[in-house]
Amino acid sequence: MEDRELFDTLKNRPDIEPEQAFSSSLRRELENNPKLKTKKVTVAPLLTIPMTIAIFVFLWMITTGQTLEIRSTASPIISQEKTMVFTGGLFVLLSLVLFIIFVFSKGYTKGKLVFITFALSLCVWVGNLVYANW
Amino acid sequence: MHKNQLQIEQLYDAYHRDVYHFALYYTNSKQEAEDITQETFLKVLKQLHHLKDGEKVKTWILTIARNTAVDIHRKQKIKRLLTEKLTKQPILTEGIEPPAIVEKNEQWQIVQQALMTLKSHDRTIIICRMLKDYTIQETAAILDISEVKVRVDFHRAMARLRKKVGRRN
Repeated sequence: MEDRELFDTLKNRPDIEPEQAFSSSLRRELENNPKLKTKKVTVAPLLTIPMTIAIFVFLWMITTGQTLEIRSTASPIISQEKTMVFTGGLFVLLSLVLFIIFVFSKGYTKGKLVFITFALSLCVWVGNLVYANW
Repeated sequence: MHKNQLQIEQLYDAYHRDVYHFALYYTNSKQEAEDITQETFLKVLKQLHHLKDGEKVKTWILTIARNTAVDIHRKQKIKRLLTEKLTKQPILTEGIEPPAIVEKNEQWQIVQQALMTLKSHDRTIIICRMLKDYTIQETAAILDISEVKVRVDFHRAMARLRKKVGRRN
């Protein structure tokens, strides 16, 4: 038996056609679907955009060492440590900026993974602030 | 909005059978095929304003159908496995029909069961090329791969399927 003949048997399987009741009800649902009236703006970009801005602000703060009050024991003392913190902060800043640009340019802002990443970043930020002011 | 409504009706009338057939071949389950068809057209309705090239509407809808089928089928598979684990009883899985049906041993069931054992990519290529008779260009557009890759993967998928149904190349 040729390949085509083999597949012809599958093409003619007895339940190949959708049920008329199902087809009609789905057609009616599409005709009267209220989702047409929903706005194009979804919750995910509304959350991720402020989150991105917040991360930028946070990174700017830790990189430049402004306003964030780190506990004295955790603060760098000698200049080498300060340089290291600055370089490290700058590296993290650049990496995250590139990551965020990549995410937005590719349009991944609605993905769960990206949303979790941004949400975790916020948790870290808040946690660090709480720790710093404890 | 009215324009969208008109379009969705036309698109539904033109392609709902194609979507249903694809979903049925992909899942071998009538219920899942209905779920996939419904979900696909709701997605089409929502994303209709993104469609710029009207000539690519068929492959666009089938790409949505394929992605939806992969998602829904994966979820159903996980649900089945979890149920199986929780009840500690093996339940009927895809491609395994009740004994009464298997006894009939119809040719289409053998081919369908062999199809179900293939990977998602191979299954999709065979459905598009052999069961729905889509062109290589259309298949490439649906899977978002090159035409050369469609040709190569199709031959490999067919070889695997022939092996499953116990036929030589």
